[in-house]
Amino acid sequence: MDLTDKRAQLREFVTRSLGTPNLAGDDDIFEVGGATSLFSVELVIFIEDSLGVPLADDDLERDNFATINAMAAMIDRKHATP
Amino acid sequence: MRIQLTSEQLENRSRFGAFAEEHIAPLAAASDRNGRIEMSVVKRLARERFLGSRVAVSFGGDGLDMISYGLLHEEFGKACSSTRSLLTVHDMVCEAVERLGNENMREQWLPLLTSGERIAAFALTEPASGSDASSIATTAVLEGDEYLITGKKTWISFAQLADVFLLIARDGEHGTMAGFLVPADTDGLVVRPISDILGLRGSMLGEVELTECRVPASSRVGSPKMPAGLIVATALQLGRYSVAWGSVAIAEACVASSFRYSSRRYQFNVPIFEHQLIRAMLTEMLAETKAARLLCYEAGYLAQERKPDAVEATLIAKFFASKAAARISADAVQIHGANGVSKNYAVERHFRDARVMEIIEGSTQIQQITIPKYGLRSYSENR
Repeated sequence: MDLTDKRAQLREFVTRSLGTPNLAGDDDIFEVGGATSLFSVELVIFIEDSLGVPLADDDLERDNFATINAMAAMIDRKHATP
Repeated sequence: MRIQLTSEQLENRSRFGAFAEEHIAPLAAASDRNGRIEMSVVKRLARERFLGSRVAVSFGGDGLDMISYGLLHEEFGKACSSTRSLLTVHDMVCEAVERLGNENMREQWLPLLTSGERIAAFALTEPASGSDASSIATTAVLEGDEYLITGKKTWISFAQLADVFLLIARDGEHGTMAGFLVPADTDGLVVRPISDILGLRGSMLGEVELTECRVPASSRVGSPKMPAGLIVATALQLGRYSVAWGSVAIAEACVASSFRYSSRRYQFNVPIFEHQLIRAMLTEMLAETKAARLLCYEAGYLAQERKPDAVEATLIAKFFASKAAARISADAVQIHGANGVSKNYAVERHFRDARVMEIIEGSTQIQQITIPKYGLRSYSENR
């Protein structure tokens, strides 16, 4: 799966899960999107196992998960420096 | 599609069942009566590597797959729900440390937890904060390289036994929920036993009061910037799975006892099994138990495959199985008649234990708020 596919799948997963099809890339999912702690668990699993992007201890920070763009940027970074 | 245990899972189930029958079941009634489980049992659980069994082999665990882990809970839970609940709380802590702790924490704590040298308990609930976990009042304030923790926890399973608590407190700086590994012998930490409870009476409940307890900053599990509630949700995800299987265990034990009893108890010159109303009850009990187990299998499979849907599946499994255990254990008592309310039959204990299963790790009513949100995800026109 290339980077573009991963970003598209991430967006689809987040908007479908939160029921917010119009969520903007910079909207804070924990505020605007109503993401719960259970969703955080799903999100970590999705990024690690469905997208195949292993997360390190210090990746698990709110800022990296707050918006679709932030998550995509984290995936980009990890893609560039695996 | 194939719903069939692997040969390894079948072997595991036999091993778990044999252990439970030999070492746990004989002590279950005494555990219920005395409000504690024997240290000899705890040591034996540790020796056989049943504590922290999900943890990776490199940290001393057994690296048990999720289905085998569920079978472990069913086999142990059939014998004694209190002993099974020790696995639940201890393993929730292992799960949080393994998934969210840093390398140093994993290397320091996981071998101690998997060997049973340290018993862990999960301290979340407070006198004024139950289902609304986000309202916890216990605070952790960073002072230099230490956190100062103050607050009160209650209804903490195995608080009387624990060497260390995964304690959830409000971060004084960020205001978010944070988890800390707090040794039970920390200055300022006091455990007060809670006794004479309805069910899971051997789970050695306690109240934990912390007065300016100092722990190193390195005791914090995960980054201070971690998404709010991730640590609680991670631990509870495993706990819920464990409780779902524990509920199946209660249901299975009640079904088995009810079939045996109804086959040998004669009324009107026939075994009561021959009476249609008894058969109607047995049918419901049997079908519900199998349905609950299938939901647990689904949740376990998805978790093992690391699918996000495991979260929803586990919620549904716990919701259904705990309700089923309550209904089935009540029917089991009814089928056993006067014997069912006596200490002569374990269904009396299972009935009381089943009541607890609908309350812990997310009450039935909380699940009824949460699960429909997942339904909407699947059935919404916007999907």
